[in-house]
Amino acid sequence: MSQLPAEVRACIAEWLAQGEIDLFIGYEASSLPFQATPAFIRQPEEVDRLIWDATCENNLVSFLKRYRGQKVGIMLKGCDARSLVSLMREGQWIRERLRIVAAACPGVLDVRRMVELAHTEIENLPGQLLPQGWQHGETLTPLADIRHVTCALCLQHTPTDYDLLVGDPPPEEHPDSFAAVREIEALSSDERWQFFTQELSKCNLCYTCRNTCPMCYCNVCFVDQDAPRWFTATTAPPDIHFYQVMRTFHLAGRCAGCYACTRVCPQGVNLWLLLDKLRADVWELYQDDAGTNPDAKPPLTTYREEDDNSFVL
Amino acid sequence: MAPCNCHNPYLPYPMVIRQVTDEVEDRSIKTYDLAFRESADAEAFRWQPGQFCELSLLGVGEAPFGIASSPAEPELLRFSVKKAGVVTAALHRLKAGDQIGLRGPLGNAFPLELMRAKNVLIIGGGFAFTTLRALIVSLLDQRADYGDITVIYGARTPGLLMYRSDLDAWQSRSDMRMIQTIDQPYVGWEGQVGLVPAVLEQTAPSPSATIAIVCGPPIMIRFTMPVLARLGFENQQIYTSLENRMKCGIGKCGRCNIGHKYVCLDGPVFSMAELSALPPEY
Amino acid sequence: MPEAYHLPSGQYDAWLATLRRHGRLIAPVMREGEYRFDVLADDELPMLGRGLTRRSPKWVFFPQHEAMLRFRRQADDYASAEVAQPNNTPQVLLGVAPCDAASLPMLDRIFMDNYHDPYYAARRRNTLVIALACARPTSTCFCHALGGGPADAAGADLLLTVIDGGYLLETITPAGQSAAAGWGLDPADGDHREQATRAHAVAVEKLKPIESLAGIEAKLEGLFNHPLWREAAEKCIACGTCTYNCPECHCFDIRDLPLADGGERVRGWDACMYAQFTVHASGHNPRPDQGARWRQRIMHKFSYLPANIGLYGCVGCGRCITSCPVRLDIRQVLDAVRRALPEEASRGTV
Repeated sequence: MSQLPAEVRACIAEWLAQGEIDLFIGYEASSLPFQATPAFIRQPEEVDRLIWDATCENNLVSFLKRYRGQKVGIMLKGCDARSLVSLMREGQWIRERLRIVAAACPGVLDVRRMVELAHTEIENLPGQLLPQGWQHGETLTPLADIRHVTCALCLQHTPTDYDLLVGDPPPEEHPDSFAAVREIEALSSDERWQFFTQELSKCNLCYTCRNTCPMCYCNVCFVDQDAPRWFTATTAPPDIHFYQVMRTFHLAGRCAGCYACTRVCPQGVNLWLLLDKLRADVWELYQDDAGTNPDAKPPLTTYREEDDNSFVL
Repeated sequence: MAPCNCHNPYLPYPMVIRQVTDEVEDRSIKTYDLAFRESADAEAFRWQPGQFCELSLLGVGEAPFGIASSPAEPELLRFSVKKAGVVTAALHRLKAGDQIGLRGPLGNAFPLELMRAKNVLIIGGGFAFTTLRALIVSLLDQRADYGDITVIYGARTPGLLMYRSDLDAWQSRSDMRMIQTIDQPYVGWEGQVGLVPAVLEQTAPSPSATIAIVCGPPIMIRFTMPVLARLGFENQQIYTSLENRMKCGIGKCGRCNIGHKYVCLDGPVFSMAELSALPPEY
Repeated sequence: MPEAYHLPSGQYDAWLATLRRHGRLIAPVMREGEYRFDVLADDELPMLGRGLTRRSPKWVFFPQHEAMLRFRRQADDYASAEVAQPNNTPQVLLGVAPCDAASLPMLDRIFMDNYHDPYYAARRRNTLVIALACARPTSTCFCHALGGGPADAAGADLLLTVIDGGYLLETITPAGQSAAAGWGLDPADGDHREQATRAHAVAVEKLKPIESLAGIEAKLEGLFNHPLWREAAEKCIACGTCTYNCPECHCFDIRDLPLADGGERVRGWDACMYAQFTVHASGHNPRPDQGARWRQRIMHKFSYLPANIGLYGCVGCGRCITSCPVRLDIRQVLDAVRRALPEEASRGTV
């Protein structure tokens, strides 16, 4: 675990002391090895708990909806910052109420993958499985081998808009984001059905994906509504499909590809495949990327005469 | 607690609706008189005022409702349903002859034994008069067993008072005191005007050898309790009926608890003495 | 002293075949990259001894959703609705961790005391539970804080322990005794028993020292309005994964599920972590924030259940810790309870 650099901690403490922020949301060590946990810091003297390293997997932007009206400092990875952009362009937050500590993020660890590689419990992970730069001068596994699968899709390692920066920005990789989408589109419809039925069979309908998604800020989600009731919430495949497909569609033109849903899924469902398909479609139809420009209007709430209508039945 | 009288406690009895009536002028409450389809079920069904049932519609779901009729009314099983959610909206679309499911009776009952030879003060407000109706009918059925009976029942307008014909019949009896009140003056209304707590204060029933039963919206309960205290009622003399969200009705599904008590199993009727020992989670 | 048999590796396959004749075999296997309990295919071997499965096996007795009533689309007629019969298929649940087995006595009380739940009861009656003594306690295990242990056999019919060249099989209940009597195994000798005892001691050694939770219900009194609940819950995202993966959590909902040719009334898992769990029809919610919901979770497990049935609602398996997407550790919340001063509760932030 790596404590935040002293000058960054001092700055956050100063923000708190001066009342520039009411709260700082960052990361601290959890009780589990290789896994950080969100930290909510309100007193300047608490800032020493704050850390930044490859264990800081959660997207903290999802907590913002609870603190509307407050001034908040927040630690963001590149992916998290993209989701903040999408949130801001929907008018859910304004930059003036935020102090952003940006993390130059080479990727976060996939602890499950580490455990699988090492065939042991988390606490017994051998030193050689630790990522490069983790401990002093040992021969270590390249981070690329044990970072989360969604980090290979990284759209942005380092936030572009921030008040403070932690770490050296790694070169941006600009991967072919939609390669996986095209691969699945090339399958026959039967094969696609089989693929997604299989993938979604892992889902146990805990809604962690929704609860961690910064863009899922409805006061009452459609699956929870009682009058009328849209959803019967069993783990029968039709219910699971209904939930995941509806949630994905609700995120069309809004999902910024932070992939937080996929990283937190307790069942390891590759949700990013569904969401990337929608992102690919929105890009193709509207040349819009939800995570880049906070001043851009969301495509599905904006009418332009030249908009593509081909999908209208 | 007696075990459920059906083998599988989740299975409803098949019922048929005998009669549906609009209970109040804004049509938000309908009253259903039900009959068992199977005579064996009717035989097995034994209840006390204060208990509730889960009414259900296939494909829609179940919801809990207090039993509004008394065992002293032969062949009558009555529920009044206020339109609030999915199940109640569907129930409101039903008519005489339609099928419906019923699970119960569930929960505990008003403390009839404790009331014996004592005075009974019944305070009701708005829609929360259903099981009070059952209680009053039962008390009057064994009238000689009880002392003075005083009923204070209030609603916003005359047309929102439930069970008008019962109220009028009780009003004309000399062996009980029936006070109907509405919140504000209303053309043609010659009865009491005033909120239930204020009417209670004016009426000033004696706490001596009296059991008070209070059912109403939370705001009415909140303002009625201090009045009862001022009149000298102790917590163990006051009972109320709670309505936490329920599903199974048999103490298993885990959502209606207040502290370690389950409203569906240990309630819905609680004394204020019991409630004061529990967290305010209702 | 319970009876004990020796199950040498050479007889293991034949023994599995015997179990399969007894009923359908449910054991830990890898599925979709998840180590979990599932119904084994005829030729499939259980993967025993790889630690705890990600999710508990409580679904074997209390599935995530199950039909209680089936009906046809046109049938608004209850008399024509078909009752879903409790499942009477004989089954063997093999390789259950002692902590998971320890959850069964508590679930038995919930589902079979008072009103008898025929669905749970049928599965319980028809399932032979064979526990496997835990040899791999991890840092998140705290069964020993709740009176359990790696070789605790409560809730199991039989207990297996890995010894040199096979297993020691101890019978715990009469059902376990009568089943084992028909398996043609040799009685265990003193050496087998001694090896098992040593294995149990080695596992106990691996457990981290921890303060017992016995008596925590007394500590919880007076903490209802304590600020610790809101503080503990601040990072909680209310996903309810802790409750789904918990072997003891048993809250459920009853809903009607429309299907193409009619529908089902189903019972399905629900969770106190969800905002909608206690919302009244009026919109009023007696547990309006996540702090109140965390308080319910802790109070239910460590105060209300002990008061009602004399058992805790937690066996210390640690799944809620390892599966939490924000790493909220119930042990830290319980530590906060231990440290809390009742007078702080008067601040009443929850």
